[in-house]
Amino acid sequence: MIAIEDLQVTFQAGARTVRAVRGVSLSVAPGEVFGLVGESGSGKSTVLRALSGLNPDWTGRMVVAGEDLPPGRRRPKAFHKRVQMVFQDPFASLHPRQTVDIALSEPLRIHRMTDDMDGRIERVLTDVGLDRSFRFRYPHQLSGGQRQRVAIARALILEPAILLLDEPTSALDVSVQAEILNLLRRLRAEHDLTMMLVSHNLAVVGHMCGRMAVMKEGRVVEPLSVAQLRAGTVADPYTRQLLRAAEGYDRAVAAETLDGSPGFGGGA
Amino acid sequence: MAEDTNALLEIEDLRVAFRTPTGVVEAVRGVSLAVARGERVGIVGESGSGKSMTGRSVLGLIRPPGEMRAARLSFDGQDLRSLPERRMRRLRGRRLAMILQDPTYSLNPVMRVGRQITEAFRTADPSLSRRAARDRALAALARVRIPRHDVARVYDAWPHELSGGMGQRVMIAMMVALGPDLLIADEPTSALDVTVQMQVLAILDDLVRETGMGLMFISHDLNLVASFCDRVVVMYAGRVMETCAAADLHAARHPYTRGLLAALPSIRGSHGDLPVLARDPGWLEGAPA
Amino acid sequence: MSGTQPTPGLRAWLMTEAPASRGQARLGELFRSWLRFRRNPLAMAGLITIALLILIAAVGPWLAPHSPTAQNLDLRLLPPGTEGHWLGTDGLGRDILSRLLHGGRITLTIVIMVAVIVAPVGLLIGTVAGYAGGVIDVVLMRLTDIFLAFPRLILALALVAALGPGIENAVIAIALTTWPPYARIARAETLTIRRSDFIAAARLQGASPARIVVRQVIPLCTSSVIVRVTLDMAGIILTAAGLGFLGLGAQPPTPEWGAMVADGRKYLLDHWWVATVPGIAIFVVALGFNLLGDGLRDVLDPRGER
Repeated sequence: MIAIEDLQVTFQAGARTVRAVRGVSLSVAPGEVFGLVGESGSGKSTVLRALSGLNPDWTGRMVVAGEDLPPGRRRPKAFHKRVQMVFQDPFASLHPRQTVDIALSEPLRIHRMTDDMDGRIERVLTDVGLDRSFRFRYPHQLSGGQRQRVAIARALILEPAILLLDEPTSALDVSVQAEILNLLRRLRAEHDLTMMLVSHNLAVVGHMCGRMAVMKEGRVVEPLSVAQLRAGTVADPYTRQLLRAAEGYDRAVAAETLDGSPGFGGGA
Repeated sequence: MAEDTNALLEIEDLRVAFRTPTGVVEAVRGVSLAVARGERVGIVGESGSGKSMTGRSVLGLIRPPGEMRAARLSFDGQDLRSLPERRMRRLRGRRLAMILQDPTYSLNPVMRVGRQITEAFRTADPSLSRRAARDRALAALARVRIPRHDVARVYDAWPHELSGGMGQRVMIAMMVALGPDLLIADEPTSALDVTVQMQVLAILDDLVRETGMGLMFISHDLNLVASFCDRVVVMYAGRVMETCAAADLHAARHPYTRGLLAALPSIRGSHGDLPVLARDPGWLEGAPA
Repeated sequence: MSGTQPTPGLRAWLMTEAPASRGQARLGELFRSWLRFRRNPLAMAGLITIALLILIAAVGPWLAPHSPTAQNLDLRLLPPGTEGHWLGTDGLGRDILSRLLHGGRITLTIVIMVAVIVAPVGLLIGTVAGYAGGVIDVVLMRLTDIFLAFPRLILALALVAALGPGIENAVIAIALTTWPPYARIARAETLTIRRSDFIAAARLQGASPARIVVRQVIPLCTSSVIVRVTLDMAGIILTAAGLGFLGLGAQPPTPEWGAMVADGRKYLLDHWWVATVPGIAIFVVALGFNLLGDGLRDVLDPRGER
């Protein structure tokens, strides 16, 4: 469904050239949930943004649903109907002056799916677990979890085949995170979606994905299956470090990481 | 429950309310807890649980329209409620310190790091010479495990040149250099990557062990609090749901705590649906377990 | 303002957390804004002042005891409080109160016409420049800089000299010289908005740049431009007065307030009221717009909403 070969993304930050992604290759099968794990600055979100079309400056090869994507150009409308994205911060991803109704009807108008608009909007709201009383509310009348449900509904209303998820739960409380993760799993099964999930949280990726890639400094350090993750049979020392850090604080592990750590650059 | 005899900080029936045009919002509703010397107390809860407000109350940082009341709020035998603002200010920084989530907001962006630290020292002790302040600042930076060859570089750096983890170390260095008896850390590692998070926690851990300072560690991360702290206070909607030894958190009795723990995805857990927390309205009213 | 207190049923309908239609949602938002606005007494004072100005503009000519242009040299320069001429008369014996009441309409016309021209032009240029970036941004912003580089009154003077004197041309001249700051504000706002996730989401839906500017960006920039326009009203009124004073704006005997101040200047030392009374009127209206603008800023700023 998704194939990426030797993806390179370079940014110009003032006088400096930042190589955010340095040769990433991966492939995602139809119906699969694939995870990208890494810390900030690892390039995991950049891969997702290049794939979605938000970041046109890349080199390499990207194939989505059998279609080669040329770099640099605006993607055709048909691509956007097929690939949708959910963002990290539900407080920033909804227009503050638009009701849920407008947020959901905009994509329909853009893609001229205006037949049965009311029906489509109400069905997608039900799908993400919001009843019809939410339809005419403004974002400031919604909780964080409800906003994220609206953002998911906005992505789903175009009936995409691929859903890109950029840290979809890291701005949410634990109990709300569980609800959203359950929702995403149900939607994947019901709508036969292919998903790519970016997260810094190994537990979330482990819970959602069958396969994943661990990224560091723009490269994939290790591809992993969920079985390997659970058994803890990881080869790369960095992955092992992440895995142990995810278990909570451990004096001995922390002491190991404490010496010889870089102090400058790469803001967290 | 605040009857610990050697308690450094005792809070009893703390209440914080905010007057808004649409009514009074009660952020903290009767919290009691204690922190002993050399103890790491974790306060854990979801957003809106009142955990940050509890921390700010201790430092007297609740500003109008917020109002704070407590049956008891004592720090090392002094009643903080009746302390005049001038003496409170002296207490803050010297004996009571706080570090926040994002160091970039706590450091002055137009002053070099070293200057900020020496200013803090010389404000606390005006007799300190420039040279002595510099020596103490360098020592403080070395103490938060900044590598020896980096100390001078960090000292001369601008805040924006520091990484998140280094910025947080500088904040800790500044705060603990004056030897506070109690450090309140409000989500000190939430903005940091996991590996950096471990380093910052190790530094805090060492400081508590070496100096016997009390630590109030406010966080939303149950696993982190359970593995780092000695005792855990679980808050929900401005109330304490339960207090237990950190080692026993995974055997917690309160349904809220159990619900939160169950809702956490785990690396070794199953791939099935996560149990969703069902909130009981009774938690808003009931006495703490 | 007790007349605006809706009945309990209507209030509940407006304040509901779950509106049942687009219209109800929008009215509910407006009502909530109004409740926030009403809590600010200074803003309310500004609103009442502007409401009074509008009322005067509407019915003033019928309230005026005399004709604004009727001269009577026997009654010239009467002080305020004189029987029949409560605010005195000017150098030609015209009743100042009547001239003020008639002039309200002119002041309001100038202000509204300038606002109607300036706000959309500034908004459009600023948002397009900010969203498009690159060459379009450079060209539009240098154009803006050129307009900004000239002193406002001198540019207006040149324009009026070319177009010919009169209120309409004064309005055009003022509008042409006032839009650049609005374009700059709109551009600055757009630069922050374009980076936000909801714009990224709109791009990923396949929305065209024009659609994003119109549907997503402009609604968010409008409020700050409206606020700025209200805050600038004082300056607009004074520029119009300045043009009038130079004989390039309202032509005598039109009772435009600025022209009245200019007219009274020659009697300022001995007959202070001739210039002072219209001056106070300008001051009150300018202050009213200013307070209103401040209040609107607090209400309209989306960042202020929780």
